[in-house]
Amino acid sequence: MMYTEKQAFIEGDTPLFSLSYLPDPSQRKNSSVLLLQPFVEERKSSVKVMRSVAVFLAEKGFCTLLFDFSGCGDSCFREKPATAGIDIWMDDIERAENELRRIGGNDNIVIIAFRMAAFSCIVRNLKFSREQRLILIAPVLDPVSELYRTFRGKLVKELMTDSVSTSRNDLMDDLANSKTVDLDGHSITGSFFGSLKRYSEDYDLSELSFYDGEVDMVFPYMLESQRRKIQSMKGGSRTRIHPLKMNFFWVRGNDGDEEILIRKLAEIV
Amino acid sequence: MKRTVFTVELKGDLLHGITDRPRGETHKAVMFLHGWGGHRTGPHDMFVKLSELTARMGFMGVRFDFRGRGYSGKSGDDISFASMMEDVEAVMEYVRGTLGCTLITILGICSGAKLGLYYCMKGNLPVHNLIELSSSPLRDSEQRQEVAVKKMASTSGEYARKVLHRATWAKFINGEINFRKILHNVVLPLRKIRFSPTRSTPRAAVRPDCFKNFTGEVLMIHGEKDPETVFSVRQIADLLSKYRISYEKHILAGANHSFYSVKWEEEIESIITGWIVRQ
Repeated sequence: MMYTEKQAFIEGDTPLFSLSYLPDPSQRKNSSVLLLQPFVEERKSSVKVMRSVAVFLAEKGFCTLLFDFSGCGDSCFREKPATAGIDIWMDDIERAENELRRIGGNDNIVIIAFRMAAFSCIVRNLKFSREQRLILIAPVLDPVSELYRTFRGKLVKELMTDSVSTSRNDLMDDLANSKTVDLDGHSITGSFFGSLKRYSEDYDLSELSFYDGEVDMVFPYMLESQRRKIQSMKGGSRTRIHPLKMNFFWVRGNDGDEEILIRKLAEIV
Repeated sequence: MKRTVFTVELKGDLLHGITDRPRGETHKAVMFLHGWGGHRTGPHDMFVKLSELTARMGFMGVRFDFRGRGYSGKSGDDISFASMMEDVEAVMEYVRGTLGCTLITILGICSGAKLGLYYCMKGNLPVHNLIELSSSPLRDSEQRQEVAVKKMASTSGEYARKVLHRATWAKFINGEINFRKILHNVVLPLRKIRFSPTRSTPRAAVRPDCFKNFTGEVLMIHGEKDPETVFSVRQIADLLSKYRISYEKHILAGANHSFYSVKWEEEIESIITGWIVRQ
């Protein structure tokens, strides 16, 4: 199927970089897909996978849009620093949705959200009572614990350069005390951490029945023990959980395995 | 500064890029080349920040994804050094022709830095200056043994540290540790050591066609803890000296290959802005 691939900036206080894939109007499906990318270095490692997913969806007839959240990738500006946090990202999702409605010409939008973006997306839909079809890929449901886990990687890297500065608990304390922490060259601010913490407390996503809308959750795994754990998860009546054996493509240096993910998406979408 | 998008068509594929335009007209540009497995934003979005910084200094910042990487698709054959050279040439033409910038500085990281150096040597279009960050060694075979020993030590150290993790023991109890893979990762560099005797490459004569389109100087920035630094820096310095090209060299204390720290990124920004001002 033919499609048009176009880069653009969504206008606003912080322009948001976007990449759209628009199938030929005569072959378009009656819903569009918004892709939400992962956060910081996970975003960079996932770019190729995101593009492959977008191309796959466009070939299936879905108008598809992906974009960089404020403060990330091509939406990162010094002159207008994004005090990145969940509230701003929820606004970004809204802006991108409006843009997709405008260019895709239909109101029915399915969201496919990856990793931390899934958290922002769920919280937004719960906060504003949206019952929208969601597909969540390797969703981060407890971002504070995830950040704690991520700090292990940071400290291991520091170990390799003989300059371990602190411990994970100290880093978490710094964030809680509104200090900025260096995570692989990205500045994680105390206000960003505050927003994660606040929304994690307001919306407990540990029970997967949190959402009334239709939701598919894809959890990649590499070990049998991980698969067993995923299979034991229970969601709400409209929640489907999919364990998927594949590399963790959002981790630097891992192969994409995008074909495995795309096969799964072909089943779900 | 205004950020805009651009797309260059090459052999039926689209190269997607971004420009950071300074206020007012300019004929100067900085063109960014990402690494082999990278993306136009660079590690920790370093290229985005550097591009904006150079735009504030009056340069057009030009970043793009090589075909088959990031947002640029590629049909047909896999990507190669040759296809990346074609991409550089195509974007150079765009920068000169459409953007009207004739004084071009290339800034590359890792394979992108090595590619930038090759373009300065062999490219068809003029390049003014080159900034290379963590270029890969130019002749891998020459120092293979030393690199292999360093890599093996680094890999073994990583596994030794993993022994301390609780998750490692859980995997061991569940029989989920892939010993074959670990052995492969540790032993593979050793095989390179055994089968590749050290050879010194005879010093080639100066070729008049090399660097004929390069008019400026080179800034080299490497991380002290990058196992390749010592070889890359030596080889590049030798090459530049041979062709009587001026260069400035900075080794960042404690830094790794991709400069994964805000502090190192700030040091790089400071070195680059200072160097540009002196040019």
